[in-house]
Amino acid sequence: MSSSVRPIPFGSPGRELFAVAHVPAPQVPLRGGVLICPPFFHEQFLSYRLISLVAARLAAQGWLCLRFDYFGSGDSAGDDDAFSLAGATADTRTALALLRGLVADAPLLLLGVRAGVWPALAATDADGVARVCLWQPLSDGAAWLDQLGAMDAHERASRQRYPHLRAPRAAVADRLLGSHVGAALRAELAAQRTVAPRIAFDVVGDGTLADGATPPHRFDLPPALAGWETDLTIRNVFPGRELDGLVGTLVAAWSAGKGA
Amino acid sequence: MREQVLELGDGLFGVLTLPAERRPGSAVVVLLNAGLVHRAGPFRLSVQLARTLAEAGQAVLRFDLPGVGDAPLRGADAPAVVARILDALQARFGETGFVVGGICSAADLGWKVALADRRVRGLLLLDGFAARGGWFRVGQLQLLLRRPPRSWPGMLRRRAFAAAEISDDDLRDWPSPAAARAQMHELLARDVRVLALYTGGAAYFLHRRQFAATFGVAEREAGITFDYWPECDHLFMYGEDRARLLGTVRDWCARS
Repeated sequence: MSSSVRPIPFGSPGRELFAVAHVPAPQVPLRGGVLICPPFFHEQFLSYRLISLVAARLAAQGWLCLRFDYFGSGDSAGDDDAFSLAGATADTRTALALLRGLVADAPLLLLGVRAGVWPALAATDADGVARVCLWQPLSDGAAWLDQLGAMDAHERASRQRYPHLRAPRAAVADRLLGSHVGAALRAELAAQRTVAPRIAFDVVGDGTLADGATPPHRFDLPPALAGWETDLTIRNVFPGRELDGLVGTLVAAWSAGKGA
Repeated sequence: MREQVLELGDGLFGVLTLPAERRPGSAVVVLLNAGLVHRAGPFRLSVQLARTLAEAGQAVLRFDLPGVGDAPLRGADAPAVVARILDALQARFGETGFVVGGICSAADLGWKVALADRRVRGLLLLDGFAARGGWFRVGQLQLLLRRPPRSWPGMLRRRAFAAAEISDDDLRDWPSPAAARAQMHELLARDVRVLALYTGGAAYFLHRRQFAATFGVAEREAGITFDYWPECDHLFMYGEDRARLLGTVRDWCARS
């Protein structure tokens, strides 16, 4: 009983967005809808297959999953410099409305990955959102920018990446690891601190909350599914067998209302 | 410029980037997956390339091969899948030629598709295959001499251990040197245009003369556009490298 994958262009003129729905097979009872907010910048392409595999497994168990790209990222319209956190949050609400139309009155769940937890948490006040899942959540935007800056410096000096350079490549203003991160976006990100939401939530993988709150339920990430965010290659492989167990445990917890 | 979803059957779909007005006689460009990265490409390179080419009057398809991105892992004979997709594009656009390829494994697959399908008239090889050999050794020596002597022991040690590591030669399905030469001549005889660009990130390509040694054709042979960008990385991570690439591919497509 496999799910199907359906591309769905949506959004509005001038802000065209792109989503992919993982739809449960007709004979599988619909449990609810999950909106997946992807990570930002290079982490989006590094995690794309992982998130697709997660969505396929959730759909096989009755959760209709909607994945989408923020404006200025992925397949959505807009140049890279059009991406902003405020825009990503607005796009999340637009995508949530699309998902609501796909699942009617079934429960809605948000799943944010890494920096994707910020637009996901911002949308938890929408009608019908019952729970939010924080996947490898970032807790502090300023600390993350520092990490990206250090990674950028490392890559610019990397003899693996640039074996022929005599000196590290110069830093480029408004760019981190190939993505546009202008002053306004830096300010938005630096202000982010991830705190416990007022609705039920889970944490998958490492990651703490900035307010020190202990997640009601934490799911360990198998080593084979962790660490992708720092591996800047085009050969990331995510073993499906490891995901089967993790997604099965997640779905069981959601069904039992654990952490609510 | 506008973008549309194109259903490709068997659970596959692609994003078709269409120009406001297609340049008469222009080929449809089919960008293949770079390694295991989905159709948007590393650092969104395929999206930017598709939109750049569409602005110049060219239609471009990006899609995921089986087992990559959103595509299920079934029917994994990649050249056959691409042939089916060229059929779908032909049904959509009528008689047309194609440009196929991309970065790394996309270049390798593009090569196979071009050999098997006479509709292909352009081949985009970004860090495509190359034989090591004499010029590679010269490149290694040049690289060594460019570094301070204190780093030589470490480089030599790494080279000794590298023999036991998995390399591009193991991960990528490359033709033998003799086959590569014969195949390149076959493609050129068919008037297939080739853009072959190598970066400093291709660890197996360290000297520009490797190209002629690999394929048995001169760098400036009719039909060939070749360049070597040693200062650039394999994924065109930085904006200036990406902009240079987008301009190079756009200009080559316009001439092809």
